[in-house]
Amino acid sequence: MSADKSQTIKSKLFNYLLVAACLLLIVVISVFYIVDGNKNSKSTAAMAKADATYESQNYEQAIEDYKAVLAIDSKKQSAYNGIANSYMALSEIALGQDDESLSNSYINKANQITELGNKNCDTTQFSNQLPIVFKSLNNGFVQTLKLFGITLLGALPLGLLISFGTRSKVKVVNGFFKFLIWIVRGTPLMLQLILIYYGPGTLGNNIWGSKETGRFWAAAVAFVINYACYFSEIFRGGIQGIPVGQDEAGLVLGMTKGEIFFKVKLIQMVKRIVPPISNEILTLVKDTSLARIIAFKEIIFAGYSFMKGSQGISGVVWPIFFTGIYYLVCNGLLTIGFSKLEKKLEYFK
Amino acid sequence: MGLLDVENISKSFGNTEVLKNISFSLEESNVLSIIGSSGSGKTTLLRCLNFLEKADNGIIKVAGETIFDANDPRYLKASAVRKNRLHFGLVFQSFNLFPQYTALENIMLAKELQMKKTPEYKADRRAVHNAIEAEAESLLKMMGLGDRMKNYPHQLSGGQCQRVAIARALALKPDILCFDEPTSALDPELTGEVLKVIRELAEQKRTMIIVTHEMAFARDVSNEVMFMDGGTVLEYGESRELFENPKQERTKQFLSRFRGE
Repeated sequence: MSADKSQTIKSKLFNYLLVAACLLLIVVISVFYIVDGNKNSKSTAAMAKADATYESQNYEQAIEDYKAVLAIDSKKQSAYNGIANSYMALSEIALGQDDESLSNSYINKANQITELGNKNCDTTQFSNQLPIVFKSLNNGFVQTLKLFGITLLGALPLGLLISFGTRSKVKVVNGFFKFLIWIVRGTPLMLQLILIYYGPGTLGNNIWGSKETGRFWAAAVAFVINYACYFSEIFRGGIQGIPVGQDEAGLVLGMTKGEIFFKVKLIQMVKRIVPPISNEILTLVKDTSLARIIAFKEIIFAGYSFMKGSQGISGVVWPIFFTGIYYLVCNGLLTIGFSKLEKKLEYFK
Repeated sequence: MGLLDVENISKSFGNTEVLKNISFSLEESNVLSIIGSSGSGKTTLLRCLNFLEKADNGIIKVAGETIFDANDPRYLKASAVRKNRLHFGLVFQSFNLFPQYTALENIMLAKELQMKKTPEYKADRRAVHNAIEAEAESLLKMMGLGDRMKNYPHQLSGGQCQRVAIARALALKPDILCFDEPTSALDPELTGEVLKVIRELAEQKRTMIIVTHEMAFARDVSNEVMFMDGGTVLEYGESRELFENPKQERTKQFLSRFRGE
């Protein structure tokens, strides 16, 4: 009894820690998003103003304006360049006035600010990589979640329909769905992605276009069909596992087939399928990474881009490792959710 | 003509003839027990009456009105079957309560779904719901389960479950209540409480058909007994007469174990 109790306390503690870690990460990400977005919009406005000043050839004022940009965002390389360019322009003017020493001092200043800019924006430095990578991974993860969400939304009801199809007494219907399941479960999801995205174009009608939304919808279609087939087999097992007596009891009480399904069998089926479905859903979170094969910019794509070279960072491995944290947090939360649901359904046996 | 008239019911599964031209008639307020060895067709007959199996041939009439005719497609439509089967109630051997509903909800569910389709429900759903609930409560109290209304089936004993199942069947006010070996899934201690309830129903003059292996109970509670063997009615008669003076050799043989001969 006491061992039992300490076990539950331990598992509860684990849950709390996991939730705390997840919440912390979510807070960090959202704070970063808000602060970064705020900074971005401010510095962009200030930058536009400074550029205009530069264009009007008021270089002294332009330098001040660019410095104002750096006060908002000290890692804005274009602002450093702006200051350097302004100094160079001033040096030209000084040279035109035959003041060589003043001209040289401007050149000096230009060199100094360029050096400072290079140092502050050095993307080989971890502290300079962090905000760039973080932002990129966050954007990638939003895409991952979008694909995950739309797949669940589509595959759960479609899976139920397919499971009805495989239980149909009409041989053609039944055969069609069994064939579909065989194809979908018998070939790699990656291959299905490639086929669905590149197939129409190969046949001369690229229905997806070449934009990011096209890639997203192609990936979504592939994932929905694939997961619907897996879900349908789980649903089928769940429905078949319900004793036939439940049907018969409903029938002799004058219920329609629909009433029996929705009022009697559905919740019993749900209870049966929560463990296998949750397994499948955790797999789905990770499987979304396969969509990078059609260049859908999910989080692994974002992490990997820093190995290949992106935004001045290349040959850097840690971002791709860091993507694991996102998956862990997401699946941690889902695991807790599913165990809660399982507990909730324990009110009947 | 009785309350129930069954004419020439037959049923085959593949090549096996399970029911061969069964005919009988049951008067209102009478209790009929169907006895016989396993595989004699008792349960199939009951299932044909409740439309869980579709008889291949024959006619079923309740109070003179035909509710089933194997050769008339009008009676085979799903909607007709749904309406006509409500003349019968069925209590299963394995209870078949809905596990996700409390005892009370189990009894209310079908009635509530039925009433939902009526204009009364649309006019005042609260009142209809309350009436159904009150009715279900009184049924549970009648079954001696007044303190178990909010319990789920898994929290009840087998005997309690079976009493809930009886209340559930009664809630739809069937003309004829059928029992399919209602105590076979229960241990001897729990059998008594279920038999007591059925006995009370007999005293209230409910028309019932009971498939059972409890011979003493069949003899005491029923007015009529049907002995089935190999898909036919071998002997049909007044309860005490059949038990004490079986005419057929096969009946004597079947009852000999029970009578301790």
